[in-house]
This record gives sequence, C-alpha cells and structure tokens, in this order.
Amino acid sequence: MSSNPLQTNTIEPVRCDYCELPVPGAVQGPVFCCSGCRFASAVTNERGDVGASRWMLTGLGVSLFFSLNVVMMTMALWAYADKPDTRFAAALADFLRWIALVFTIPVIAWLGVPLARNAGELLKRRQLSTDLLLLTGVIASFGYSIVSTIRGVGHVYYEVACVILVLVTLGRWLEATGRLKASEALHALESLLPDTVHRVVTSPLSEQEQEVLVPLSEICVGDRLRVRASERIPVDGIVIRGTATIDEQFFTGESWPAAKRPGSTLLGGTLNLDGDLIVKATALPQQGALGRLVEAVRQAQSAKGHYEQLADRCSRIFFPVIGVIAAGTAWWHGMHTGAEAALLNSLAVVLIACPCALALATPLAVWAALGTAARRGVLLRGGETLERLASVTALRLDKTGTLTTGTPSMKQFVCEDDSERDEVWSRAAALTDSSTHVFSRAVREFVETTRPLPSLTEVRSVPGRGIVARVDGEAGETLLGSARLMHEQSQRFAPRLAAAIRQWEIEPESFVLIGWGGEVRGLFLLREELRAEARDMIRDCQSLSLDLAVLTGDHSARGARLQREIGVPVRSELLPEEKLQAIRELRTQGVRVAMVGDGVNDAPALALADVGIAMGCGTDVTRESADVCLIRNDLSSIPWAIGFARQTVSTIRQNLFWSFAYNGLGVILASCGWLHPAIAAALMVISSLMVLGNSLRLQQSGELKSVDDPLGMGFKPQSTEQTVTEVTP
Amino acid sequence: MIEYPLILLGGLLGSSHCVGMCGGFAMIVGMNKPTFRENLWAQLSYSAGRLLTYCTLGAVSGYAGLRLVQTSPRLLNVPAALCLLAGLLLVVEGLFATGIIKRRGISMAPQSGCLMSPLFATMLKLPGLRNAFSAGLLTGMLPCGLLYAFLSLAASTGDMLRGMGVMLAFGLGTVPLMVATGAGAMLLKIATRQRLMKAAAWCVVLTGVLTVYRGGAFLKAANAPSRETATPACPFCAANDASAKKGQ
Repeated sequence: MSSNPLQTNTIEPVRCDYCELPVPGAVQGPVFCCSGCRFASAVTNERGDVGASRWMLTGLGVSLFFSLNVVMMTMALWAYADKPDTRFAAALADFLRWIALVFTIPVIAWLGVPLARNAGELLKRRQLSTDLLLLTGVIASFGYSIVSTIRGVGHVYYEVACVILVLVTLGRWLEATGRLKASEALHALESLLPDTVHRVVTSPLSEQEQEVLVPLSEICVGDRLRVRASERIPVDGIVIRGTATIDEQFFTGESWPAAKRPGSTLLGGTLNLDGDLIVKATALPQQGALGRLVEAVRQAQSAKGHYEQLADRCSRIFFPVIGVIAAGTAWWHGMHTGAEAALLNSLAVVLIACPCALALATPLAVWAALGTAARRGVLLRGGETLERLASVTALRLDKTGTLTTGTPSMKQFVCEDDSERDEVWSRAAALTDSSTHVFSRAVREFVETTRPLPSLTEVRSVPGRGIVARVDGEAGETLLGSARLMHEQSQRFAPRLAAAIRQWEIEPESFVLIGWGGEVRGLFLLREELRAEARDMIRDCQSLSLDLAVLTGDHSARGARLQREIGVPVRSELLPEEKLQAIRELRTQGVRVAMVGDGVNDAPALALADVGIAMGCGTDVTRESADVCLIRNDLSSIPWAIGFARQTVSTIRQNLFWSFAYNGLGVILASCGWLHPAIAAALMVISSLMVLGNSLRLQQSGELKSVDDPLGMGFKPQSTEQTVTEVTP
Repeated sequence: MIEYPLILLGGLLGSSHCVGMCGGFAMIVGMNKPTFRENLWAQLSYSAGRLLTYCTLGAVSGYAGLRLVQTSPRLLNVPAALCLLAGLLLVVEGLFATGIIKRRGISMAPQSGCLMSPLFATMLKLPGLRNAFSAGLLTGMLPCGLLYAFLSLAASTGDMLRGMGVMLAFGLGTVPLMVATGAGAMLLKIATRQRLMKAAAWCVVLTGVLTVYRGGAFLKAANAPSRETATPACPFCAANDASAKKGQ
C-alpha cells in the first residue's frame, strides 16, 4: 500500500522507545525519555542483541560490587586512618586511597559513560539536564579524590562518585520500569490481537487453498484469514465460511456470546469460542475497533491536564533555580568552609532537588489512570477530562437508550379468542421477520413459534403505522401496527381488546396490534425496560453525593412513573433545546455538570456539559461530542469513572505535595551542609519510588473495584515474574 | 565480645523468613542449571553477593554507630538505645511473621518490589556465576525488616569491623537454608513449610527479646560501674561485653 497522505500529516508525538510515553521536542532515530529508559531498553532488549543486554547487566553488577567495596574502604579510611598518627595508619590510609581509586575506575567507565552520553544528547537538543549537573559533580568529586590520592593528603570522595552513579542508574531504571507499568493496561489491550495469523492463500497452480503463518502487520484489507476455536479474531472482518459463537463482551457488554454465520461482521480482539472460521479482513489491524481505541488512549495521554501543565511549568523553572541554589551553596561553603564542602554540598543540592519525582508526579498517575480506565471500558479524552470529571457535582441523564435499554420488551399479550393464539403468533412472526423496527424486533423475539411461518406476498410497510402483507392464498390483508393503522384500515375492535386498550391508554404504554379479515385479533403490550444496573448506579452516584436528574423528551406520564421507580427527579417533555437550556442554567449557577447520553441524538447537550459521557460507544470511540466514552452499555461504569477520577486527582495532589515538600526540605538541608551526597542520592531514589508506587496503586484500585474479569474476555493482566509477590517482607 | 554465635543462630533461625521472601530468587537462580554441582556454585555465588552487601551495610552501620556515639551527648547511652531499638524491631518483625499483628498499608510495599522484578528476572535467568552474584548484591538491598533489625544491632557495636562482623554472622546464618532452597532440597509440603515459618517467626521474636535484654544490660552496666564483677556471665547477654567496654 502506498503511504496515505492523511496518515503522514497527523501530528504524532514522538514516543520513548522503551516506555512509549510522549517525549517533548524529540528528534529522529531511537529516542529515550531518560537515561533510565535507555538503560532498561538495553537490558531487556529482546530483539536480537542479547550480547549488549548482558554487557549492561554485567556492568551494573560489577559496578555494584566495586561500589560496595569502595564504600567499605572509605569507611575504613574514616574509622581507622582519619588522622594517621602512626606510620602504620599512614601506610594503611595510602593503601586504602589507592585501592579505592582502582575500584572506582570501572564504575566510572561502566555507568558514567552512559550518563555522559545521555547528557550530551540532551545538550545537543539544547536542553540542560540534571544529568549534566550530576555528571559535573561526579567528575569533580572523582577528580578531587585523585588529586588527594596522588598528594597523599586530604579527603577522598570515591564513594560519592560510585554511589551516585549506581543509585542514579538504579533509580532511573526503576522509574523507567514504573512508566512501562503505567502503560501496561494499554499493552494488555493491544495484546488482545494475536501477533501472527493464518492467511489463506489459493495456490495459482493447483488452485488449492493453503494456510501461511504471517505476522499480523502484513495483513491487508481483503485478505482471508483462518481463525480456529479459542483463538482471537485478529482484525475487523466478515465471516466467509463457518459458524461460531463469539465472545464480544468487551465491546457490547453482552455476557451472552453472539452467534456468527457467513456474512456476519466480526470485531478484532473478540474471542472465537468454538467455531472454525474463514474471515475476510475489512480493516487494517491498527484501524479496527480495538486499534482505534488504543490510539484514542494514546492521544489522550499526550493531552495535558491542568496539573500536568503546572508540573511542567515548575519543572521548567526548576532547573535554573536549582542551578542558582547549587552555585550559591558552592560559593557560600567555598567561602566559609573550603572547596570540599562546597563541592559536596552543592552536589547534594543537585541530587536531592533532581526533579524526577516532580516530573513524574502527574503524568504517571494520569497515564496509569487512562490505561486502567480503558481496560475497564471507559475512554477518557485526556488528563484534563479526568480533572473535570473529578470535579463534577451534578449528573444529568438522558432516558431512552441510557437509563433504559432502548429496545422495548414484551410485557403482556392479549388475544381476542384464545384458540386463535397460535395463528396470531405465526402471522405476527412472519410479518415482523423482515422488519428492523424496535417494536417489530420485540414482537418477533416474543412470538417463538414452532409452526412453519406462513409465506407472505406484497409485504409493505406503512411509515409510522406498521406493516401490511397478504398471506398466501388469502384475499384480505394482514395488518400489524398501531391502533391508528387498525382504524384507518377499518378493522373492528372486539370487546376484549377494546377494554384492554381503554385501560392501558390511561397509563401510556406502547402497543402493537395485529388483525386480519376486518377484525383486530391480538395485542402486544410493550414496555421500555430500565437497565438492570440502573438502580445500583443511581445508589452509587448518590453515595458520591452527586445531584442527579433525568432529562427526557418522553411523555410526562411515563416520566412521572420513572421518577416513582428510581427516586430521581425526572423532567419530561423537553425539546432538545430545552435540554440544552437545563444544562446551561446549571452551568451559569457554577455547578459542574456531566451529561450522560447516547452521544448521537443528544450530542449538543453532551458537548455543552462540563463533561459529556456517551454510553455504548462500542466500536465508535471517536464520537466527537463526548469527553468520556463508555464502550459498553454499562451504567455502573459512570459512578466508577467519577470515583476513579476523584481518586486519580487526589493521587496527583498527594504526589505533587510530596515531591514539592520532599525536594524543598531536602534542598534546604543540603544547602546548609547537613546532607551527604551519597545519602541524598539514596533519598532521591526513595522519593521517586514513593511517587511511582502511589501512582501505580491506581491500577490496582481499578482492578479491585471492577468485576472479576474487567475485559469480560478471559483476560488476565500480564503478570510479571511470580516471584514478585515474594520480594518484600 | 558480642555474641556472634547468637547472631549466627539468629540468622539461621530467621532464615525461614528469608526463604519466604527471597527464596523465589534462589529458585530462579537454580532453574536453568543442568547439574546439581553447577546449581550449588550458582547458589553460593548468589549468597556471596548477599553477604557482601550485608557486610557493607554492616560496616556503614557500625561506622554510623561510632559517629553517633562520638557526637551524641554523654547522657545518651547510644549502644543501649540501638540495642533496644534492634530488639524491638526484631520482636515486631517476628510478631508480624507469626501473624499476631497485621501489617497495614501492605499494598505500597510490593509495588516498589515489583519495579525491581524485570531487572531481577533478567539477571537471575542469565547463565554465569557473575550474574547470580550481581543478583545477590541487589537482593541484599531489598527492604527487609529482619535486615534492618540486625543492622541496628550492627550499629550498636559502634565499630566498623564489628558491625561488619555482626552482619557477616547473620548472613552466614542465612546461607544454609537459602542454598538448600535454591538447590531444590526444600521441596517440603506447604503445611510443613508453614509450620517451619511459624517456628522461625518465634525464633526471631526470641532473638529480639534477648537483644532487648542485652540493651538492658548495657544500661545496667552504665549505671552500676562499680559492680562489674557481679555481672552474670550469661552467654545470651552482652553484660560481659558491656563491662569489658567499660574497662577499656
């Protein structure tokens, strides 16, 4: 396929090669957002270059070993040969200094060089980085120590250089892993598509069909693929051959698997439970329903929220501020205590102020939250949507298709003459068989008949009235539809049905009538059904202290009944403009309001609300009017999403508070000279870990609150090593 | 002298705790080794890595203890305080392990551990003794209550070499069971393992109580310098050690 100009024009932010999170202002080629990702990618690189990966690991191990020894040597130096008063002590001190120097060299070589390379690369992108400051510190302390060693007097700070390099590498690496984990939920979605597929090709010579195993990325539109039982459907497509039941719960929320036969459409990522299918691809893998969902989450990750912008601004002014403080510390201690103190204390300032935690505080929580929500079938348009959703205090719901299923179900059937029942049913089945109207479908589902359906001729639908057809061999027509159709076609109402209609006209219900031979024979009473989870959802929303109301265009009597049923105010007989007005009024009162609808009919109201929530987006996640798309028709996602958004925002606030307080306090301590650089390095790693752990907890809570199987597709999160749970006491 | 044998015993008895926490790593180290002999070497390298980290941490603690003694006011009995701290930590850690007290906010801890796992996994699965050794070095740095308790004990010695000694003794104590686990000799039934864990937990509590007692002996020795000779020569307490120190 030739390159699509539209595709090349879309602005795709450059992503880190390892953690796949957006990198600002990046260049061509392999890009890493930090040295941690560079390191992690080198270590875990599975695409061939195992040698390099082992080399990195060996380097880390060796550096760790040498660093521990250097630490012990300098400890011994301080403990036993600080002030050498004997010749033995002097000799010991000399020996320890030289051996520490020898042990430091490999650490500098193995871990210092990558740090230098990263700093250099950032410098080429015209970015001053903390890497650069750290590198300066390491070189300075190493250089100073060498001079001391050669002269045989003065302190050595080999352990500072070693510990900083080891801890910075380890800390960055942990951060990179944390970020990777943050996008894990997204990867879990992507992994629903198999890596390889069986393509069916017809050999040109023998005209026999053959199966070839090819990578998913090579599939083009129109390819025929074979999908066996218990395999996942790799692309959106159409069944050509075979039948199967397919688990589509992720998209439809329907726990009952769907039966598929030739001509049925299939969605990529759904699970073939039992059949053997030949499928024709109708979309490229990344442009199918699942691919579009993943892409939408990706885009959401690059949309920055208010907190993220705040953190960004802070990070930007952070660097010069820290530079100034470090320089000030160096100057002050240089004037008062000496060059050594100046070096160590300014190094400690840089280490403790390293804005890793601050830079991670918001994005990590947002990324983790967006991915987790997507896995639970909730697509959020970005960090800003999350923040707005968290601040929502009022919720307005549409009725039809939102609170109710949108498809009416049969409530009652009345027959004029009970002996005629089978005849009425089979005629009703035949008439409704071809119709797609929601009432027809409800009737067709209801009238399960084993009798062969009468064959029809001259079937025609009367718009807004019903269906008219002639049963084979009969002179008169059979009618199915509204009371008006019956009146217009002058069908007579017998006493029983007339009484039933009079009764139900008081309480406005929908009904479908069937009649032939000048007489109405049967009546189907239909009713819009509340979704099963609607009451739970309302209770959950109330416990989130949300102000609830239903806005509907429906008949006021039905609205009143709904209000009685669910205990929530219902405003009925609203025109679309009046719905808009209701939302606008709330907003002018300063109420943060979210509107829930199907995203098609009520798109303007959704767009006007602070947050528009569209139900049942299914495969169509790109509905523009909605900020939040619920992939399934599952109302319980709404309170979950609002609760989760609040939790995320509180996590972000905790992270920001923690990193500001921690860094601020640390800088004060360090600039006063009360913090040894090695300890500062360790504290920095701990600070990052706190933020990482706090953010990643969001993923857990997303899972805990969800049902047993959030994807409904037998999905299990990709677990890392089993040993993980055994790591910490 | 400090009671190295007791510490060794503490390590030995406490090492069921280590098996519970880090035994999985040892098993991974052993997984890809074709022969028992190779596995044994790998296990020993892994444990040697742990020991080196423990020793370094012990040295740092000992030195930190020394500085603490030097800088803190005379009124504060640093060794006694550290001993008491170490003892209490051991008791608490032991009680956690017995399940008598429940840990709160546990969800936080495994997360940070999880972050290490990809690195560990890669390192542990690679052949070569040096990788097992590196993994051991890193294992020694994992947060562990038992380790912290013994580190405070090391700090209470107030001497770099003795602090190293404490941690070496503790580490050596943990070696047999860890190596046995990794070498596949620990294929015990879950019930047996649970019983062993329970016993080990109480051993940790006991070590803690003895350490607290040792701290008390430090205090007593400091308060009653004239009655040095009357201090009982109990092998489980440091009274002798404390009085010897006094005499220096």
